[in-house]
Amino acid sequence: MLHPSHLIQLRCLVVQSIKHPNVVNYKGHALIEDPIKLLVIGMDLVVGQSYDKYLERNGALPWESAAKDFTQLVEGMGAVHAKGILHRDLKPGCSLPFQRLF
Amino acid sequence: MKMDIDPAKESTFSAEAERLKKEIATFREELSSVSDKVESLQKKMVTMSTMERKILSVMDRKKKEGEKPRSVEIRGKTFTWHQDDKLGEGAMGSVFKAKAKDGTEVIALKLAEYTGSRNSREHENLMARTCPQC
Repeated sequence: MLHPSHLIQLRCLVVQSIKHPNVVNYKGHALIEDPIKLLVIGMDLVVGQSYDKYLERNGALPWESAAKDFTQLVEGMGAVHAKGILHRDLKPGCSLPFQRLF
Repeated sequence: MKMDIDPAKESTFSAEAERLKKEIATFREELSSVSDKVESLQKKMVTMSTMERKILSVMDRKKKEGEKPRSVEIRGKTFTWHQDDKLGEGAMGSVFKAKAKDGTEVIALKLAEYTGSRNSREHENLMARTCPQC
């Protein structure tokens, strides 16, 4: 059996290779102990509120823009699935209206 | 009506009075010693509360020190983040805004526990994926 930290390194190698405009870019990771063991994952900073907050504030979207956003979501997930990874927790709270800072 | 003074009874009464006087004296002594004790205890309480305040202030300082910026090295670059810069909290852990020490980059950092402790869904997912026997 592999040590958990090795499993993480393995998985990060896979995640690292996902490059898609609709998937938040992975920057790298580190393992620290302070005082509990923490996995630190570096990602691009995406400015804006999460999609659930966005919906809470603006209410239901017209189907055209909802479809547009959902297409982006599905395309991003396509890139993730292509690497053999399942998200398993996909929800509005995990999505951000697309606004990249850099 | 004639008052009979029984000398025997008289002496018993005076003896009783004497005894009561002595008892009162001992009670007084006891009372004064107790009040002394109370005073010293009160003084102790004051010292204890001063100590308590000191200990609390030290704990407070320690806590504040724990909140000073933390840093991590990712791909040869050092990123620092502060507890106040929390962007959000998910099932896996919290996300913080972090700055590169050289000032070239601002990124998001997700912190997740990876030992077999609770809240380590990230870890559970890993085990489920890579090691079905586990």
